[in-house]
Amino acid sequence: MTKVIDDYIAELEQNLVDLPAKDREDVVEFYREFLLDGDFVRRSTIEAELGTPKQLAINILADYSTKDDSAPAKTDTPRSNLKASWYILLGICAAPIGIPLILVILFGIFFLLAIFFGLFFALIRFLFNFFVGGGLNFLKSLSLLFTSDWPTGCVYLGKSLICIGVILLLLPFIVKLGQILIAKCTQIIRNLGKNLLKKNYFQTSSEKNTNEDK
Amino acid sequence: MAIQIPTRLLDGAVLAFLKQDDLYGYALTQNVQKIFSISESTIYPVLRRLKKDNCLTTYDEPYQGRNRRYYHITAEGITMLNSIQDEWLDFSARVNQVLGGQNDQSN
Repeated sequence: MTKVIDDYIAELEQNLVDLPAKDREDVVEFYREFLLDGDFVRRSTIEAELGTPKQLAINILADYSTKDDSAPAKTDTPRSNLKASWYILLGICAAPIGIPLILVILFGIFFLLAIFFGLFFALIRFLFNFFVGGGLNFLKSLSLLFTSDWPTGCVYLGKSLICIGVILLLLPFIVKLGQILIAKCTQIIRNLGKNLLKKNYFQTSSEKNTNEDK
Repeated sequence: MAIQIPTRLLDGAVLAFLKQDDLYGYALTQNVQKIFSISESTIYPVLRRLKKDNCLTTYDEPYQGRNRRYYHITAEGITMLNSIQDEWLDFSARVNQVLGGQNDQSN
């Protein structure tokens, strides 16, 4: 009889691998208890209440991702930020709000990303040009250095060294900038998620009927 | 019911039930659902947030060979509940002025 519950919980757990272990344990335990206390025996009734394990997991992950103060151990790496953004987007898509609104939001996010990353890549291109320029200068200097024209060769060598110096100076800033960009985008998406998902915690009439069936 | 329930009221309802008695997840969900037609997956985020804000604590009690996690309201939780109650009384009084009785139809 509890086989059904165990299966459901196991699936839920699999879908929550991205949560810190402690949080996952807590939430999984909550729902296991919930299903046991509710005497759920059929998969269909469980899914009518909580949705499929995947849907429930998306809701949970979206909820965790919208908090800016999740587990203290979890630092905000660009990777975790991107993940959080992704869950929030999934959560927004799963939330019962109108399709037009979703489209508007997705377009908005898309344009935002396009602008940010357009700028970012322009900068990277700029650096790349420097890199190529430095390389060319270096080659030129090599060909000239051991001829009678060696002073010109020295000038080119100097130019290429300047290019390398500039790249090395700017590189950390570029990396930092990239991280900041991702963090900022995530912040925006977080706020968005907070506003949208929070408002959808509380269901209205359509939900009521299903609850009363029990 | 087409009126949406703000999380603030949901927090209030949860705290109000816990003020009467310590409850475990399922019972608490049932209680809240008797009042608000919320979905089952709504309660966990609320409890998690309230716990993080130190409005409640949890403890486990054995039940039929497993554990049941009970939720217990803290002093901070009671303070929180009181302020939500005050806000609600004020707000509902205002709404009642407009939407309350049929006796006052003047625009």
